[in-house]
Amino acid sequence: MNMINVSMSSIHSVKLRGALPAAPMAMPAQRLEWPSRRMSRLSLLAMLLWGRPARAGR
Amino acid sequence: MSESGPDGRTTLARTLALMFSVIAGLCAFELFLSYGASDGVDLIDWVRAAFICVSTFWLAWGAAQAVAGLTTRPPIPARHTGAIEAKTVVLVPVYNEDPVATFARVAAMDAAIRATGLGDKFHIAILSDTRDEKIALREEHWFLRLLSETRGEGRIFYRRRDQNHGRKAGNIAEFIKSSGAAYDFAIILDADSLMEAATMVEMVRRIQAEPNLGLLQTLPKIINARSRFGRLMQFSSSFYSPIFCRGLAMMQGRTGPFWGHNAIVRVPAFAASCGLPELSGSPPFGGHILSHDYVEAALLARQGWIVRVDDDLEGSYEEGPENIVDHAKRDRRWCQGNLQHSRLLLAPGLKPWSRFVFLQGILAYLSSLLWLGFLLGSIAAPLFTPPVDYFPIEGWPFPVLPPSETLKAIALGLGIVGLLLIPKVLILTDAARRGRSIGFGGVGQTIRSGVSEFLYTSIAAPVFLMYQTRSILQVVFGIDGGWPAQVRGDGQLDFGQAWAASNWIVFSGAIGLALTHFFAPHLLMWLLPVTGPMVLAPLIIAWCSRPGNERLFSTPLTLTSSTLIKEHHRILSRWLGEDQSTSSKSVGSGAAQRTIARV
Repeated sequence: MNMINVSMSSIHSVKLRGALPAAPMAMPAQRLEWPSRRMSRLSLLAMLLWGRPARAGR
Repeated sequence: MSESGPDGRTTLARTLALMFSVIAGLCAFELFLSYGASDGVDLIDWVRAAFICVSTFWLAWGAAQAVAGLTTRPPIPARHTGAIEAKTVVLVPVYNEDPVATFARVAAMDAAIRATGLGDKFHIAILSDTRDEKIALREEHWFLRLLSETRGEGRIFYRRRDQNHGRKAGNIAEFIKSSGAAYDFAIILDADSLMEAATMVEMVRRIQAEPNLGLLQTLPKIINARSRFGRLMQFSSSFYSPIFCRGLAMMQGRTGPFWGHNAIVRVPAFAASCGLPELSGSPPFGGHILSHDYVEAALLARQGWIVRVDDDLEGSYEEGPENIVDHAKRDRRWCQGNLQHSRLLLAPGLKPWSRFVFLQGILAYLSSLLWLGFLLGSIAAPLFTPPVDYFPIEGWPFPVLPPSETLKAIALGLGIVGLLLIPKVLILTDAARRGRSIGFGGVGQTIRSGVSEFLYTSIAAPVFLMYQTRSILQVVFGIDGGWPAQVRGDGQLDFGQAWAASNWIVFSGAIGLALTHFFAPHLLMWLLPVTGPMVLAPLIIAWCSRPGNERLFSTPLTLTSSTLIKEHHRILSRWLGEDQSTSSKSVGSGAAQRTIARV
């Protein structure tokens, strides 16, 4: 703490002067896993049978 | 987004590379099996042949990538030529980094951006995930210093998260959720990244011109290396990587890579596609996605966005580890991340190429295990071999000697070394022919650097193999590597430190030598290039961490540094002087001091 004199007021100043613009944007979590192991196995079977990736609605 | 498959050139490149690699793997399989058949084929021969088949496939794939890189030229990309109106934010995520070095980079990049006259179109956001309170205090101090020096209020931002949920990917996601709508594009950097302003502007022009482009990756070149190992990596990243990257770009087409930094993303595309969930289960295979960059590239492609690497973009830099131990620590994290991708191979809706990229990443680590399995299998093989029957024909009075298959073994060995060596020889020849070697100190100097690189990496390969094997086993047995801060700076190791980090490799090598001596003495000489460096691992590690020869491994940037790099060093040395006058024991400034000491 005593190495660099960062007082409470300068911490406040950092929060004030460094504040990012408030402009929210949605970032929904994507689906990367099948709901169940059975679905996962079925997708593998489908890929093997049709030679192309299984597609899931998003 | 509209869906579109790979174009004709991409499909052709993929098909040829795949065919070549499969044929090389099968040839190795057949050669090894016929070599093993001289004394009868048993189970262990089949296993070893399978190991060598997969390993050779992997080597051939790398060679095919180099050939694709040498035989193609980057297409001329579309670029927006009008005035730039789009708003871009440069994101600098930090995690327990030395703030003096990092913020000096920001100051240098900010000055370069302002010099282009586009200062109002580019903002910089330092996104801190630092957990160490002392370093956090220094970050705040140096942020205020940065603002006053650059007059950057309203252009340069700093925030620190209370909880570092989701690690680096979570850090970026939190920024997008709170401030993403203010920007069209985001240039994602690492704490040790540096990028020329002209490169940033060019990236904006390219992504703006191609509305379907979701992510544009550059090839960062390593700078500021000082040790033998660091300079070797720096030379490789400047000399070989652009060619391999060209080949990669050729084969990946619209489903390109993301390496986590030194890339630009279209913010709405990234936000809509790349929200990462936590995987079910606990680490190392569950929990947060560790190697998030590969997954984000796959998710963008899944939504129909183009992900592209433009290997012609210069002016993109990063720093690398200075010794083998630091490299192994970073590799441990990457290993866990890549193996975790095995959970995502069947993720819904991914492009086939994205799945293949995951598989490649997994294979890149498993190949170490395959080579080790092959070597151990070779030592153990005599235990499974039946005694030679010199009188197989009943009633025939003379002995029948089994045919010698030594030639096949030599052919196989030469083929494998050739797959490693030929791409490098071709790249050296191409550089000499096209004049690219001038930037590396001339033809003679480039050849010296190339030969030294091959020798260094060949000698150190068994040490890397052991570190990678340990990483894989740790992950498989459920040991989470956590999120250690990147080690940056000088990195010189003495023998004691090197011994502490590698004594288990020495013991493994000694045991390997003893087992070979007892069970397969005829293989002793063949296995010496592997067991020898293992026994000498501490010496190799310590020697490679020493300061390197100034001429060997020269690159265009070591011969003529860029204005931006010089500006970073200038600011850094000035700030370090202040830092020392403010405090003689400031936390974490050692790495920055060493960075400047190299210049």
